[in-house]
Amino acid sequence: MNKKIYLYFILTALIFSCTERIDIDLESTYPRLCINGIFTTDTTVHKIVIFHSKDFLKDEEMSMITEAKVKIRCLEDNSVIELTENPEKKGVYETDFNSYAEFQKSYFLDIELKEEINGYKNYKSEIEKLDMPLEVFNSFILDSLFLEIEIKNRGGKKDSFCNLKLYTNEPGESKDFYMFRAYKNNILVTDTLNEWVISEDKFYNGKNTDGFTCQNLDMNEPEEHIKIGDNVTLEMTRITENYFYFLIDIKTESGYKIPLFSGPPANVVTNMNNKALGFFTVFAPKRISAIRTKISE
Amino acid sequence: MKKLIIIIFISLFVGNIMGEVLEKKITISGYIRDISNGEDLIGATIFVKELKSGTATNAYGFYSISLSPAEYTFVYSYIGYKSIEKKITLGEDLTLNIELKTDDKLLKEVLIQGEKKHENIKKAEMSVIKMDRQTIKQIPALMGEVDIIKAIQLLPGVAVVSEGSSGFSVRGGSADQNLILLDEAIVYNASHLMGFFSVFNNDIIKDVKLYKGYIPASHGGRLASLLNIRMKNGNNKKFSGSGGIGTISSRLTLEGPIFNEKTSYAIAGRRTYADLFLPLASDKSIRNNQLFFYDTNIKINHKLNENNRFYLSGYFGKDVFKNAEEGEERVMSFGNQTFTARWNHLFSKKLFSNFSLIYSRFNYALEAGNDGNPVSWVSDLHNQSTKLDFTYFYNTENTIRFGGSFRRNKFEPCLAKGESEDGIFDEFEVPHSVALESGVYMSNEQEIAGILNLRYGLRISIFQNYGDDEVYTFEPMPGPYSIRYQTVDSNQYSGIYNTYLGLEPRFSLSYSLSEVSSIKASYSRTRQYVQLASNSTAGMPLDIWFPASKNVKPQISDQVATGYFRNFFEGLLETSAEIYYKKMRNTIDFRDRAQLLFNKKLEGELRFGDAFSYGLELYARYKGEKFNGWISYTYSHTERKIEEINNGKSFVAPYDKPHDFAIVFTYNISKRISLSSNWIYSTGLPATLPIGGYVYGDKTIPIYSDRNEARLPDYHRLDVALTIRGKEKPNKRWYGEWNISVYNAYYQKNLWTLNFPEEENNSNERYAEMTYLFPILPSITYNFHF
Repeated sequence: MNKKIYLYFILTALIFSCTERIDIDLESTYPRLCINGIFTTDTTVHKIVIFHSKDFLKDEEMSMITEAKVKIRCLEDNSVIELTENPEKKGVYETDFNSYAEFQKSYFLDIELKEEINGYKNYKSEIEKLDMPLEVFNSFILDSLFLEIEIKNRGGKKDSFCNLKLYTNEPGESKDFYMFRAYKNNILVTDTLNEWVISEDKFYNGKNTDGFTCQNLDMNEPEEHIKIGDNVTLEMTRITENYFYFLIDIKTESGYKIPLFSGPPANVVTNMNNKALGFFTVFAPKRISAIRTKISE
Repeated sequence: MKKLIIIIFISLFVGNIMGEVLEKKITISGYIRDISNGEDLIGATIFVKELKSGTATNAYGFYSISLSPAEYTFVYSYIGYKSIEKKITLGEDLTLNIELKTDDKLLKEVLIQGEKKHENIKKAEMSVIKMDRQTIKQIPALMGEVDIIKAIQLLPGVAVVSEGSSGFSVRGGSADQNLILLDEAIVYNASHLMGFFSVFNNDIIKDVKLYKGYIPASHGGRLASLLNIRMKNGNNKKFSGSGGIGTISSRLTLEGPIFNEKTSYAIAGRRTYADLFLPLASDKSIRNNQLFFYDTNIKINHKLNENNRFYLSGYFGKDVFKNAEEGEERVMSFGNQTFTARWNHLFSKKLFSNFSLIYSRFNYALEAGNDGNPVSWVSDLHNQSTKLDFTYFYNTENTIRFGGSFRRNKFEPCLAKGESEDGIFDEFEVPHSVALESGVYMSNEQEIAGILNLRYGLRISIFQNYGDDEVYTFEPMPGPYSIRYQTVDSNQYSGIYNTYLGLEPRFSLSYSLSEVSSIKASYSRTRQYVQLASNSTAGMPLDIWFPASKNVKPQISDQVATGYFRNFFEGLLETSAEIYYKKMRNTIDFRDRAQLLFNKKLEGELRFGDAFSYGLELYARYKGEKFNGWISYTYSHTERKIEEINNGKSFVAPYDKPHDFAIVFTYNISKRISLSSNWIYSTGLPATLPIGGYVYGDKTIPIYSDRNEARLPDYHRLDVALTIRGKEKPNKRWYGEWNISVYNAYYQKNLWTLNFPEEENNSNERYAEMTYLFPILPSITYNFHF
């Protein structure tokens, strides 16, 4: 709803505004270690990517950090999962194919570099924990998914969308945060940050979602076009509160800013120490699929 | 310290008054009005030639002077009006109402201030600027509408917060630190259409006064300034009207007597009408859209007898936006409403009183359909006030003011709910709260030996939280998330559970070096208990005002200022140089990316610290017959230091503009044609810019510098306007004029916002893109009066 009321301001501003590309000299800063790490409850190969920060405006090839010792440690049982660098993808560190995160266990990332960056050789993340008991998570059932094909007439142009409408009863006992992503025939199609829908349960805690649209696919995009017979999967992932705010922050800071709504820009809070950037998190996805049929029309 | 302040003020008052208690005095009093329409003349002067002393009318046109029995020559004057001189032998108390006639010769020039020659030198008040609607009318219009707020933004010490915005920053303060009053009622949001228009219709405004430093003790509640706007009473002599037809909006004001001269009314309305043409659009999707505002001002006054007069006035305005598409409709509306009822009563020839009942409200509402789950969101802020003010015209040397006020504020920040019975949205409400603000004050205007003028006063303000409220205790989240607060405790309170009391001394003096020059100094303490939750860099209508509380201490400002004032060419050229230093405590800022809407724990988003501001303001104003205008220059600097923002390092305030220059002039080419123009230059606003980046997913996330470490490009703009009046003929009833304005005449692309969008085919490469408003904006308006 917030976004929709912004239409008013955007419309008013657009009536009177123009944009123009300009040259600007930005200051530069020292290089920092950056990570992108996700450890999920799925039994699979999990990846941690480590690289350097870059110039803001230029599209430089990511400067990957190689030959690091990367471990995921569990606080409760002191277990350690050692990751090995993919020989074909430098800077990408992987677990075994049978590793997975467990509920109510605390994990953190431990990195030892071969060479110092910014005066530091060892880096750690904050603890990330799936605090929902396994029984509660298992009793949380995604009942059904309905695919609705919607055609909108916008200024004479017809846009069509596939709305992923979810029926489930959201657990009411806890304050929960979710991320929604969509797959077409098992391929992630909402593959950009802007397409990840994130939400907290503030407005629907413990309620039946009653066919609420959790994701929508732009049928005009070839990758997102859903034909009759295509299998569409909705992934509803319970994420940690800290990761939820991290996603909000990076969406805010990487998005378009209008002075009316934007507070002063500020650095995104990460959960790495020693001025490193990025985020290590654990999360628990649930999935439900539906096949497009004629009924969806 | 508090006791000392009280003792000093009591000593000053008693010492003054006791000296003259035994001497018999005769009082001459009355009202000074415009002969043509009966409007009270605020600040008209009464000068006693023999004593080389005098007084001025108050906000209701009333004056009173007490003198020893003798024969005196009284000169009644008001700039733009023919002075009246009367020789009167005072033997007993006398009521003398004066009606002044406009000076035809002077009327043709722009009238700047309603004061007599060199009054600006002698008056103790400093950092105060008066504007009348004639001056405002001459300033080139933006989109065909001349605007009070836009005119004020051209004055020294006043900075624009964003291009086209109705928000303004006074001496480093934020926009919510300005107390904006319309006939004594608070206007919480002075913007229409994102601030491109202000809520004030110039046609019904009588008097505008901006206090930047010394704020009279009768007013409080905001740190930075008082913008006091008064509406016209309405012509009590004859039916008349004025208005304008513009490219975007039109307006009409009607006024006249009701039955007889004792009662008069004024009513004004405005509406934008660009949306009326939308149904004709070829694009069906925009035919049902709406985007407009309207506002109405109404005022009625009735003179019961010489001792009693009543005023009723109100303002009602609303902005409406409707977007309808494919059966889904989004409607948003917001607006201010004010209502003021006043009773002027004369207890005696020396004691004037005014009793006011005031209501003001700002609210907004949104409705949106969403997949069969329509939702609504409403927010409301309203207050009821009562105010009692007395003016005691003790003698020609002392005018004592005292009184008190009480206000009940009710804050209802957010109620959002699903509108369908089987919708998924819960009702979400940020609990409402009530706060009580009271104040008592006493002040004196004192003249000593004709060369030293003093104004001193004390305001005692009391603020109380009232009601059944849950108050949270916060502490920072652990580890790197400490920029967010978590709730560690909560307590339920009822009744009056929190009280703040504070003394607000105000002092100002003027020492005349000669008839044409003086030095002035002032000190002012102000306290602010109600503030706006906004960290945007421009004004927006989704305002959340919130009160002081157990977690939020009142903001306090101490300001000292001094200045040199000098007139030249018989008072035609007024110049001044002022310097000020302001220290602010309990300054409120917000955590990075604060969540201000839909937040039951808003106080957990606030961060507190200190701030200071200093500056130099130079001002020269010429009031010639053919040529008039002013030049203003401000050098200023404002810094904040808030422990949990910017790693505890000081940073410049968001509205900090070291250099701010404006030149405004009107040249009367002939009796019928005048040319006016203004040129503005200011340093660019501070900005926080990226100094590096890193990739997450498909995005490059910026690494920023310290807050406000960089500067955006400087701002400059030229506006011009040509006014062509109709021919003047005897017995002509209808007077019209064409106003042709060009805003940003040399097409300067002033940066409004800076973004770094992704290249179309490469999300990891970005470029700098500026957005600018109003590249060049001509407008034409036909104004008329009859």
